[in-house]
Formats: sequence, C-alpha cells, structure tokens
Amino acid sequence: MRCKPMHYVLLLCSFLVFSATAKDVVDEAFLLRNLKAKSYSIDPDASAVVLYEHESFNIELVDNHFVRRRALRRVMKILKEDALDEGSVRIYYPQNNNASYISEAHGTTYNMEGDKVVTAQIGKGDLLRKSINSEYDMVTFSMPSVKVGAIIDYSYEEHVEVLTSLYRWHVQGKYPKLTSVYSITYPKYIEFTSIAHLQNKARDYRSEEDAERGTDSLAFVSSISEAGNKSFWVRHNIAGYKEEPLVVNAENNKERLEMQITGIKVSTFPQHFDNSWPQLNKTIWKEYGLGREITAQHAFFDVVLDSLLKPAMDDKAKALAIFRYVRSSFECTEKHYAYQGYRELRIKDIWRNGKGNIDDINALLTALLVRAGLDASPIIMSTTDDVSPNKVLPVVDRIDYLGCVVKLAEGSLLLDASNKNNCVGMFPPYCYNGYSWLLQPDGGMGVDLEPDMLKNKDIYSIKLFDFTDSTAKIEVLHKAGLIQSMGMRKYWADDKEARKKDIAEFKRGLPEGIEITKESIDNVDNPDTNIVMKFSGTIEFDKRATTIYMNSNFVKFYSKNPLKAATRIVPIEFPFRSEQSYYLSVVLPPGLEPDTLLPPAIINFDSGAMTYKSASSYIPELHTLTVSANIAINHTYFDVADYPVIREFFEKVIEDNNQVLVLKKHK
Amino acid sequence: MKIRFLLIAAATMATRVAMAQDDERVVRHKEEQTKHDYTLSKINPELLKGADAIVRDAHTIIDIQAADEVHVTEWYAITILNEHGDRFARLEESHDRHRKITGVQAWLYDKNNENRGRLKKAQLVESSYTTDAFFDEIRTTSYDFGFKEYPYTVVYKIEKDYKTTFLVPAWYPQPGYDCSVEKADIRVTSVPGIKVNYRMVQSSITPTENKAEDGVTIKATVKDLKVRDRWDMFSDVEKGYLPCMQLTCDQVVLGEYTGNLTTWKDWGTFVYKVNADRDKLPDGTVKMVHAFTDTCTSAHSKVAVLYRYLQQNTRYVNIMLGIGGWQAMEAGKVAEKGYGDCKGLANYMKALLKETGIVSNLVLVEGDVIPARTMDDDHPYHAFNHMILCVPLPKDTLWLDCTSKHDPAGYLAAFTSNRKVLMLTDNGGIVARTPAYAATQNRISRSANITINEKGEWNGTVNAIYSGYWWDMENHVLYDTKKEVSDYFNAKLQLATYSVGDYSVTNRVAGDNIPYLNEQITFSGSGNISKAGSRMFFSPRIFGGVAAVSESTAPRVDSFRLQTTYQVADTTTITLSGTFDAEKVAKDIDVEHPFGSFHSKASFTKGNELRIVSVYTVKSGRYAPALFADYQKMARMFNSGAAYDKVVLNKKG
Repeated sequence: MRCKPMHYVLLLCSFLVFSATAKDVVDEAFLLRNLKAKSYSIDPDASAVVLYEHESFNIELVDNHFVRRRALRRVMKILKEDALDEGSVRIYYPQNNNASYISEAHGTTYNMEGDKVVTAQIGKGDLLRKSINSEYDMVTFSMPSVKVGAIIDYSYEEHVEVLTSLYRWHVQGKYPKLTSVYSITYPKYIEFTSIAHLQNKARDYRSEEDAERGTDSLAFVSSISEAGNKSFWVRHNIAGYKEEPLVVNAENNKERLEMQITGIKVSTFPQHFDNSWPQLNKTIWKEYGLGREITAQHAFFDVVLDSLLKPAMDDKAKALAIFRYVRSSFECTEKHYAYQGYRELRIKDIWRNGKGNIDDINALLTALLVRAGLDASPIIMSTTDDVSPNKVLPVVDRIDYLGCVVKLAEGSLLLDASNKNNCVGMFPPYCYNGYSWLLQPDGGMGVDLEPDMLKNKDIYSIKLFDFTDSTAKIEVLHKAGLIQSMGMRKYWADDKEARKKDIAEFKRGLPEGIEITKESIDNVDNPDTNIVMKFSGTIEFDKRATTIYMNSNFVKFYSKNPLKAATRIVPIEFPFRSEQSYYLSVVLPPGLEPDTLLPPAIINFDSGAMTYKSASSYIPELHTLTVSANIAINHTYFDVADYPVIREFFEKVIEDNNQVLVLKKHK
Repeated sequence: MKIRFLLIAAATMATRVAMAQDDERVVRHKEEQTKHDYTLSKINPELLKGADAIVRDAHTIIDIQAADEVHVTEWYAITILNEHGDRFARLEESHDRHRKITGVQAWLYDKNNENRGRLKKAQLVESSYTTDAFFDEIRTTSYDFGFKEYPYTVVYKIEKDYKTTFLVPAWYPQPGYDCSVEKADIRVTSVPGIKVNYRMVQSSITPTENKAEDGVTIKATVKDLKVRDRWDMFSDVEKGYLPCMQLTCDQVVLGEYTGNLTTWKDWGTFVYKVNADRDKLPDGTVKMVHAFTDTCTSAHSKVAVLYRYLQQNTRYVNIMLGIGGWQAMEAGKVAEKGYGDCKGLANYMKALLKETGIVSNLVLVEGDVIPARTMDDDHPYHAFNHMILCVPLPKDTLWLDCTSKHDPAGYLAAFTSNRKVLMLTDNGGIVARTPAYAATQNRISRSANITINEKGEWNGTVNAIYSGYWWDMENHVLYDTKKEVSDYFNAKLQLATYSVGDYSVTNRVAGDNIPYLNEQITFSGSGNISKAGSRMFFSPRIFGGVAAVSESTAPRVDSFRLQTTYQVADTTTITLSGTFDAEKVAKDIDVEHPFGSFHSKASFTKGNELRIVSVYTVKSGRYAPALFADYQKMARMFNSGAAYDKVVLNKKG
C-alpha cells in the first residue's frame, strides 16, 4: 500500500462521560462579523465558505425495527456568483413503504442592507417533495434572497427506517469550512469501528461545548447517556478540495471519517460482524451462499464445457476458452450488487437467462472454471470511484466489484468477462485501487491490485518514401496498447460516431500538408489484441523550396505540458504505467539529404521512474534517415515534492519533440 | 343448497367470462402474430442501410373531443437490428397532471416472428423524469424487454389522455436518424368547433382532410423512409428536425384559461392573458424602484439601473408546478423570494419598469446558441423554450434577458439574438426579430509583444479584446476564481511551455450596448526554440483558432449555414536578441470568398523583428454546398495556425 501523508487511525468506540448541548453559534455578533466579511484567510479566492455545519446521526430501535434520524444544519457565506446555487437544496433519502420522511426543515437567509441585517425565511409552501424511483424520494427547497454577500442557514431532519452500516463524515468538500461538527448516537449494544483519514490527531475533550469552543484543529468527545453511546467530533479550518490534473482517485486525498457497524449484541437480532476481511469472507462465502453457488455441481455446464475444452489443452488454454465463451455469450447490465446482494446471486438463473450484472457474470465464470477443474476464485474489490480499501477493516459499502482469479502454474490470471471488450489477463484500470480480497472457503487472502501492475505500450511508425519534387508518400501506423485498445473499443461501442471522431482527431494531430487517402482499423472485434490504425496518403512540400523542414516527431507525445500550474497540492497519479515508441523512416530521393542530424536526447527522472530518449541517424548507402523516440512512465504515483521536476521533465520532452529536420536539395 | 348452486353458477359464469376474455386475448394475440410478419425477409434492402432499427408499422390516432379532452393512441412495431438500436425498444413515456397514461401494452417477437414475451403491468417502472428544472411534476413510465438476440421486434400500444389541446403532440413517424420506416400513418379527428391546423416539416407528403358533419378527419401516411443524415452545426435548422406533422388547435384550454391559436396574434393574446395581472409589487419594492430611478435622466438609464438591480438581487430557479411551464410567477413573489425562472424574472422586470412608467413586453423565444427553428408566419406553433423582455424606447429598443447575471442592458447573447420571436402585447402577438450583430461587434482583437533573449527565454504580454459573441464565450474570466482564471490563462496560449505572471481583466459597455472584455496577460517561458547548427527554429504561434469546422469529409449535398458574423484580428511581434537572416517565415495568405476571408502577412525586419498580422472574417448566411469545401479549407488553415508556420532563422556573426 502506498504511503499517504495523512494518518490512518482505527478506533474502537468506548463508553464514557456525558454530553453537553452547544449554544446556537448563529448569534448577532456572528452574523454581523460574517455579513461584513468579503473574503476569508482560509481561502481568499473561495466562492463560498461553510461557516458552521453540524451533521448528527441518531440510531434507535423503535417497535423492533431500527430508525435512523439524521439532522443537518449548515451555515454558509456566499462570496461569488457561482456559489448561488448552494441556496437550492435537494435532499435525497431512501424510501421504504412511505415510512421515511423529512421534517423540521428551516431556512433563513441573512443580508446586510445598509447597517441593518435583513432576514428572509422559507415557508412551508417552499418544501416540495416527490418520489424519484422505488427506492428514493426527494425533498427540495430554495432559499430566498440568496445573493453575493448573503449568509444562508438551513437545517432539516431525515427519518429513515433503514439501518445502513456505514456512516461517513465528508470532512473536506468543495468549499473551505471554518467549523464542521459530526456526531453519532447509537444504542449501547451496537459496536462501531472507525477509520479516520484526517490531517490531525484528535484531542479529547470532556464536553461538546468545550470541544466546539476550543482551538484544536480536531477535537473528540465520547459520552454515554440514556440514548446510548455518543461520538462527537469537531474539526476547524478545513481547506476546500481543489481539483487538479493527473489524479486517479480524488477520494483518497480528501479528509474523511467513516464509522462502520461491526457488531450488534442483541439476543433476538442476529449478530453481524464484518470487522475483518476473513470475517467478511466467511459472511459472503458461507452465510450469503456465494461459495455454495460457485462450487456446486452445476451439471448444466457440462454440454458447453465439453464443446469448449479439448483434451490437449493445458490449464491456461482451458481458462481462456471458458473466459472467451462467457465474455461473448452473456449480457451484462453493467451494474453490481451492494455486497449483501451476493445472497441473491443464483448461478442457475444467470445461466438460464443469459444475462446478469457484473458480479453475476464473473461469479458464473468462476463457477464454470471450477467445474472445469481449475483453481479459480472470485475476488472482491472497490473501484477508484471510492476510497482505496483499508487492509485491516473492510468498509463493506465500498465493495462494488467482483472479478475472477485463476491460479495457474505460471502465475495468476485475472479475468473479467462482464464486458465484451475487456481484455484477458487484466481488470479494467478502475479496479486497481489497492487492497482487494480473494474469496475462498478457507478464509481467503488479501491481494494488492495496484496501478503499477498495468502497462500500456503504444507504437507509432511513420514512413515517407517515393518522393517527387513536391510530394512524398506517407504511411502511418499506430498500434495502440492493450489498455488503450480496450478503452477505445468500449468508447466506440457506446457511441456510433466515436470511432469517426477518434480517427478525425488523430489525423488532425498530424502535421500540415498531409492528405490521407486510405485508412483502416484492424482488430476492432478482437478484444485480446491491439487495435492497429493504418493510414496512407501523401505529404506535400513547396516545389520551389530548396530546403524542406519537417517535424521530427509527427505525432508528438505531448503537444502541451499536462502540468500547467506552478504549484501542486496532491500527489501525481497515472492510471497505469505507459510507454510510447515512435519511429520515423524517410527514404530520400537522390539529391535530397539531411542538412544536420538532431542531437540525441536522454532525459531521466528519479532513476528511471520517467525516461525519455530520442536519436536520429542517416544511412547514406540506403538514402534513409531515421528518427526514433521513446517515453516511458514507469511508476504510477509520485509525491507532491517531485512536482517541479516532473513538470520540467515534460517541458524537456516537448522541447525535443519540436525539433525540426532540415532536408536540403542538392543539384 | 340453492345458494351453493348459485355460487357454483356464478363461479362457472365468471370462469366462462374469463375464458372468453382470454380467448379474445389469445385470438387477438394470434391475430397480431399471423397478421404481421416481422422477419426481415421481405423488407426493402434500402431501409436496412445504416439503420439500427426499422419501424415496420405504426398507427397514431389523435381524437380531439373538446378543448380539454384529447385521446391519443399509438400502436407501433419496431424491429431492432443491433445494440445501437436498443434505445428504440425502450418505452419511456412522460406524464403529468395534463397528460395521463391510460394504457400500455407491449409484446416481444424474435427474429423468427415467435412471441417471446409480453409486458405485465407490474413490470412498468415509475420514476421522476429528468429535466433542467429544479423541481417539476413530470414523471416517466418506462419499460425495457432487455432482449439481446438481434434482430427482434417490439410492439407497443400506448394510450394517453390530454387535458388540454394546448399540448397536442406532434406526429413523428421516424423516431431517430438511424431508424428507417416501412410504414406509418396518423389519423386526427376533431369535433365540430375545433379546427386543427397542421404543418408538415421535412416531408413532402400532403395529408388529406375530410370534413363531415360530425367533425374533421386528417390523415397522412409515410412509407419507406430511409435513415437520415445527422444534423450538423452547418445545416439549416429545419434539417435538424425529423419528419413531423406539427399540430395546433384553434381552441385551447390551459388550466382556467381558454383561448384561440389561429394566428400568431392569437397566440400572443392567449399567452398574454395567461400572464396578465401578475405584476403587483410589494410596497418596499415600489419604494426601492423610485429611490433608484427618480433621479435618472433618461429612460435608458432607468432600464439599466433596474436591470442591474435585478441581476444582483435575483437568481434563476426553475420550479414548474401546474401550468407553471406557461405562467410566470407573480412579481410580488419574485420580489419576496429573490428567485424565479425566465418567465418570473422577465415578468418581475416588466413590473419594475411599469412602476417607473416604462412600458415593456414579454417575448417568447427559442433560446439556443445554434439558432432556433424559424417561426413559420403561416403556422403558429409551440416553438419556444424561453422568455425575455423587450423595452421599446423612443430612440432605441432595449432587449433584456432577465436570466443573465452579466449581460449589459440592451445586449442579447448568442442564445437569443438574431432570430424571430413572438412579442406579447395587449394587442396580441407580434412577430419581431432580435438584433443581429456585425463583424465589428462580434470581434476578437489580440496583440502579443514578445522578446526572446540569447538563452531562448521568452517574455511577453498579450492584450486581447473580446466583444459581442466573443464576450459571451470569454466573460467567465470575470467571475471565475483566481485559480480557475490562472489555470485558464496557463492553458490558453499556443506555446508548449510557459507560465503566466500578472493578468488583469476589465469590462466595459460601448454606446451600442455591446460589451467588451479586455484581458492583459504577461507570461514567460523557455524551451519553445530548437537549434541545429546556426539555425534556430521556433513556432511564433501565440493565438489559437476559433473557427467552426465540420469533421465530415463527404462532399456536401445541402446548403450550409454560418450562424454568426465575426472577425478575429491578431498581431504578433517577436523581437529577438541578436541579428538573424530569415531562412523561412510563413507565407502570406490571401483568401477571399463570399462567406468570409482570411488574410495574413509575416515579415522579418531589422534583422531581429518578426511581425505577423492576421485577419479572419466570417459572414453569417446561407451558402451553396459547392462552397463548403472552400469554407472548410479556410477554417482549417486558420485553426491550424497556417499564419504561424515554423520560422527558421540563421544567426549572423
């Protein structure tokens, strides 16, 4: 697991002390001070600042079912126009037989008019509710009189008859926050485990009021009352999260706290502990029955297996044959289960229906491989849409993907048959998000899926030949790497016009004077190979010119520096390692020769983490001029401290790519 | 005993009825199966070319019983040829309090014409329909067989009731560009007293009209419609529409309002009525209006002051309830809430102006950067999605888009300029036209002054002025955060590597209400120069191209339209350290066409100064297809930086 600048802290909540009620922070002094403010030192450029927010959860057992009450209050200062929409509030909440509802919705906007504070409030008629679908409802309201300089203060309560297992405090959001408070109160028989991804260590306080009033960046209060156990956090002065280029998983860089239910100790209620990966393995494999489904004797597989498998096939060949069959034969809805959904998974139904979601298809694949006698296991993971998993505590709500791993003599083979364009031997790049778990009957094992495991290799080859006094023939070949090929196939499958657009864009990137008259794309329908694009045509020169100037790199690895900003806040990430190779071959006619050759270039960052080299040569006997260039990014994660040097690396690559070949005509 | 007999008899009867109904369903189903052959064996091969789906047969019946009672039945069979066509197999019917779905049936047939499934009502999915509105009441009923063995055919029968003739649907026999049509027909019946007007768009068929004592019947049939070319930004607007029959009724009911829609004047009268008497302002607002405007010396300045007040104190929130799609929020409520949609804000602004004695008119418009469908003078039709305000003054007419927070009073952005609109007056609707701007008003003027020292380091300043249409595109820099603006400028120039130093952005409005944005940027960089021996190579390109270009390489068949008249004038001056001979500089460009021109001249003087002056002009209008290749060539030359071809210099001494 890569090293992160923040602390990972695991806390088991304990029972302690008492809770205090905070007085209202929005008093006259607060209002006057903040209404007059035009900017805040935490971020003078911010469009809005959260002055105060408090999100609290209260879990209770009512009439033998759990009720979760969530209360939110947010006070924001609007500083720029693009934050005006913060005054339009949408509340989505899970609906269960009309038992869930929103209540206690209040909203006040404060404005300064002259020396007076003017208020406007939402009325009952401003609350609008509608059903979104069978699972969610929505309540909206729009705050009145929201303009630049206003303070909006709104609050509501959400009552939901659903007990979710994960509670998240999104500490860091789009706007900076001066104070953010988060609390959760729960019955004493519920056990929570927390994962904190926070800048600072928490200081313990005895009272909530003291914690809010204190100046510590992070404060914590733990208390016990009749209502149950309560955990209470306060965080001050949180910077807003700013988007930057070359970030694969932004969630990993944001501050947050998560609390997950890992046990319920009530005699009439089943205990449910997923406080470790082996425990989760047991839950999914045994209790939810996934293991039974995968290892059952599915005799209905045999007809197909008999047709696919030949006696001479080794294990790898068998695995590939089965994988390709599932990939091409089953329709995928591209959705996935929440992990509890594995108990609904039925191999027989998937087989009979010929379709399923991502988890279904790969579970079926695993079952087929097992039936064929191969050592195959399902693997669960969390994709880069969400935070990378923790090695100690599985955050179950984050598990959103199931793939397949086959153990062979030569190593493990990763298989994902959920998309017709997925390539054998790898998962899609978004699956490489750190720790994942191989589900097995004996407890399973952890597997690190890191982006460094993937490499994409592109090749560009350009040939110029058959010169006349004003033209030459040109052939261009682009062999896309396997990962890029996979992405292109998926993009083209979704959008009929996409292939044309991509080809047009590639041709546009070629130097001026090139006219393409023929083009072809090979291997589009073979997902396990590279896509190869071929173009041919002519390149024009000025007939009268005695000197021809030509870009040394017709395709240019980078036309502009991808790292433009002078400074950077978060590490630099790439979704996979990459290598691009370029070859130019020019067969010159008699009388046309290179005037000078380009100096060779070698640029190296961090002992091979990033490399670039280029060279040119001329073979007079063959009248052939060649240029070659290669850029390789051999790691996928770079610390912030490396930013200036990496930026300079790209600048040098661009500079070398802009070199010009000079060809002179001799009489 | 008797009771038991009766019960048995009743049960038997019920069973027999049920069986009869089942028989009827089976028979009807079998009739469906045997009557229609959905295999592809007999299909016209021309209809398969480029098609993702084919409508095999479709019948639409629109029965207008009263101004508040319209029954619509659609029955259609569509064969899906590949996965791109699956979207045509999905049912997605929207409904709200004005339109109710009263029945849905669906059947699935495979490539051998075998029935493979039938919709069960419980399988219909109800959800909220996604629109741009913050809140609305529109919902969607949807269904998808999820079948993937191609080709397959789905047959739908959908019945809907409309509570208003105002929303009578248009007939679109061809559901998409990539869907061909074997046969489709429509029958519209209306009771006496309700006249139905129709207009065919993108179709040469002539419907038949039959008048009888019990009403009028209009019929139309289309056959063998092939797939269509996609609309592109150069097409005539009308070409963007699939063939359709637009329908309007002269008698309409909308909520409590009734009206007549025979002419555009009538349209205006009706919508005016729906929005009338909604301009009462609270006392506080009235006082504010007078406080702001009583000292203004002209009507123009009153408008400008109140418009600025509106922009600073209200925001756009679109909440559509009831007939909220057509009726503005009351001005008093907008004043109280500080928000409204386009209608609410325009109505509010109208009320503010009314308080000062200035008369203005609400205006219906179809807003889009690509100009709207042209309003047909002879066929009034629901062609609007936006509302603005027109203020006719003695010397000037000021147009106000009340949803814009930045436009100066009197200026309309590309979203609403240069098109026909419907002005709502107390005398009915008047067809008017929003302003079009000249090239000198839609202009970019950029200059760059750069020095390159002996080490190859660049230092320069850029001064750029954007006006009119280009002000629309660029004015975000006035309101973005510093980081966003810095990132934007750091990506904007055409140099491979550079860093922006200081920058400033100022905004002003000229006497013709045209806004001007001035950017001044200083920057520095290195590494944009390469050397080989005594030669030095560099690209002098600082400025990017902005011309619209089509990706299609096929010869153009239809005329093409250029939407906006504009001009881009650039001057680049680069001064080098040292003395050089110019081995190569960009060639002069002199291109003239009816649709525009491109002129560029590069000169190298004093042994160290390169100067490139380029002017690119486009004239809006409609042009013959034969000229399109020339347009594309000119636009590509401009965008690719042909005026800034790589410079090759030889150092002297």
